[in-house]
Amino acid sequence: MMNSDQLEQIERFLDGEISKDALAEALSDLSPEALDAEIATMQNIRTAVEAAGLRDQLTAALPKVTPKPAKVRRLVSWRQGLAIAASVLVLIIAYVFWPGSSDGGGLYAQYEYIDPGVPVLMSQSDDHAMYDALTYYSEEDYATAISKLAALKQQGLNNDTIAFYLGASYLYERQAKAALESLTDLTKEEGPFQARAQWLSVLAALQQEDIGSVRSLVSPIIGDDAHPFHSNAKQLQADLSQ
Amino acid sequence: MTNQEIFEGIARRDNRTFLYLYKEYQAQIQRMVEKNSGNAEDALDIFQEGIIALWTNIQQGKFQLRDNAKISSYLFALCKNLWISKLRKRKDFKSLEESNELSDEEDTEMLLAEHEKISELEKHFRQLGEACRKLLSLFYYQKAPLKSIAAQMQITEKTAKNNKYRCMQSLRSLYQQNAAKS
Repeated sequence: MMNSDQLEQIERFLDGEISKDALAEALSDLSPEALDAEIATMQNIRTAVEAAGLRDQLTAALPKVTPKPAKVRRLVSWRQGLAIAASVLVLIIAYVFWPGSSDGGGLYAQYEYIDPGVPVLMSQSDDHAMYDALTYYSEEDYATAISKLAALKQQGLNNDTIAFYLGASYLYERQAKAALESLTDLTKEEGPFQARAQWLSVLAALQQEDIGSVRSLVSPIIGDDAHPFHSNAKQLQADLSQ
Repeated sequence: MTNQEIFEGIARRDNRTFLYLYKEYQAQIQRMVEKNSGNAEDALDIFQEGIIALWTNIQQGKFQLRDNAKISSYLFALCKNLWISKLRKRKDFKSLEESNELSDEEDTEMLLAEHEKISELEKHFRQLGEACRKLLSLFYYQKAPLKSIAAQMQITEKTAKNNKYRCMQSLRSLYQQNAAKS
């Protein structure tokens, strides 16, 4: 069995930190064939773990299938139907032309990113309330997640996980100001939430139709080629310039 | 999006690219599945599996873009073959309509073999305990540093490192047991 240091050396090779020769020297007790097999195993394992994450990501990102509606017996006459259609049309016109009724969500909708959340592990969380809140988040019941997370914050429990999921929940509930307040600190600190907090802050500014803030919030993302939302930010900047 | 942009978007797991592919090709894949004993839900599963298969092969360095070969043709061919394979497993395979859109160039046998290998390993990963799954996912999928993983899991950084080694060993042993069987 390989020890921790040996595995670490293989990981360093896969990450491009050391050469194959340096790896072979560090693991000189392995034959070249055995070394190649260990490298392949490690590479496969890493890909499989990432594939599991990608599967969850796709499940969250792709539109859900909506079952085709079953055919139903007509319950209203054509006259009643016409009257209903006219009422709906009036409501639509009122909505579209009513001052301030637009949510300005064109670009927001185009760039919306729903963070799926991390798997919530009861065994890892000694706080049942936290588990409860994150479960509501992962079920996309953001209003309940907000009330649970805000309650935890009020009790003095204030960590990055709460700040991030509270901010994300506010965003998805269209409370952009509160989302920005919750996410701002995370955008400045290096950590697992930083990149996503930066992008969600951009989305919050888009919700507010505050184009000046959007431009300033996308600039650090555009400046970082390795940022997971780099291409989205570049595209958004291009869209804003049009 | 160009072929190159799609390739790069898949490689970096970009949702915008996935949504573009969905918008452009899902209807075509759904038609193929629905004509052959499946429904819209099956089609979405197959589309998702096709994306994962493409990503896996890009990640493993097994799939390279060739001139005059459209990445969408590979995606469709992968989805079609994944659907055949699923029907065979369901013992529901009669005959899948041949598609003129596929040519010999889009031979996906090798790509599917690689995907199958990684999918098996992914199943082993899902058999691990919750703590292991979370730790490995944070480290390899979310690329979180051990320090922040330790903070999230409320353990020390040293424990996080030791646990990561232990979890990797569990996964390696499941993988090797499976390899020995086959």
